[in-house]
Amino acid sequence: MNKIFIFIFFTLKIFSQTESGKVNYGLVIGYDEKMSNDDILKGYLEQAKEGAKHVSFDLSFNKKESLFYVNESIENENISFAKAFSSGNNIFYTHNDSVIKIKFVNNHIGKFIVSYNDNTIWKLENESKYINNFLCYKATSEDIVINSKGTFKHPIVAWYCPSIPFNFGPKGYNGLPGLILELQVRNITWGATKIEISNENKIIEKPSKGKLITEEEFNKILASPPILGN
Amino acid sequence: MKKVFFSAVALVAFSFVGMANEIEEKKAVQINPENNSVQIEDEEKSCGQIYLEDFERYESIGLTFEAASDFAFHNYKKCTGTL
Repeated sequence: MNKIFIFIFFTLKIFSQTESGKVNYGLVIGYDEKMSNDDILKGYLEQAKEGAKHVSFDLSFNKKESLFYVNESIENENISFAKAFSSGNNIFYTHNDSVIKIKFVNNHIGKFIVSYNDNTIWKLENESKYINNFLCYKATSEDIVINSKGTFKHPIVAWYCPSIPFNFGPKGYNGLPGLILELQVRNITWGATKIEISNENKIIEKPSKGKLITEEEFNKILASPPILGN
Repeated sequence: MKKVFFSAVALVAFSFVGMANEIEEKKAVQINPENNSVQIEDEEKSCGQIYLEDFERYESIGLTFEAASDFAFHNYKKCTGTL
């Protein structure tokens, strides 16, 4: 029994000294009834499922900041669709001292720095499971999409690991008492495949190229027809 | 005299490239020989219109603005032949 306590003590001691880290996430795109009922989108979804096998993301973080971005990969239509479904064209930046989050967008309309409010309210559940030998707990919430057609609520399930004392996660999601090692938003899942923790402080380089706009302004641009040449 | 009604349908396809949106339009022209009236109906929409309609359809599925735009833009590029 004492050995177990000593093990837990040293485990906590080790992670309490950690200053930064990097997690690699794989991508899985699952079935969605509404998407599959659309004749065109159905095909894109199937292609994206295949493309997702070749897409991975990294979450780099220190005690205060995090950056979530897609890794370079070959380009084809399947991968392009997988990125479109999983916000793979964006880089998400969070800072613990700010409620405003930032995403760096580089897509067909240009480069933008988009500030947005994250209203995610987490509900901590009792369920737990191991991910890469780390005990993780379940938290749930809703991704609320408000557009011209109404309000849509998609389920969010996060598995966070209290023994890794950083409150960050994929796609700018944060605020849980431990690092998120698995995140599902609607039918898109990011799952940790490699976890690196360091005792050295790491500088998070926040991208700075792009036009600074709010999410409302950005969405207005997206809702307009493209200009030829884009 | 037996009245004969007939109509001729001609497809006039013309396309042009504008500064704002590439438009590939086909018009269905119906001619009524009795009064020589001509009725023109749009058969195809502009690529910009297709973008907007697809964008809205993806919105109604609950896609994010960005995902709706990405897929609508893909369809737009198919329409303009620039994919």
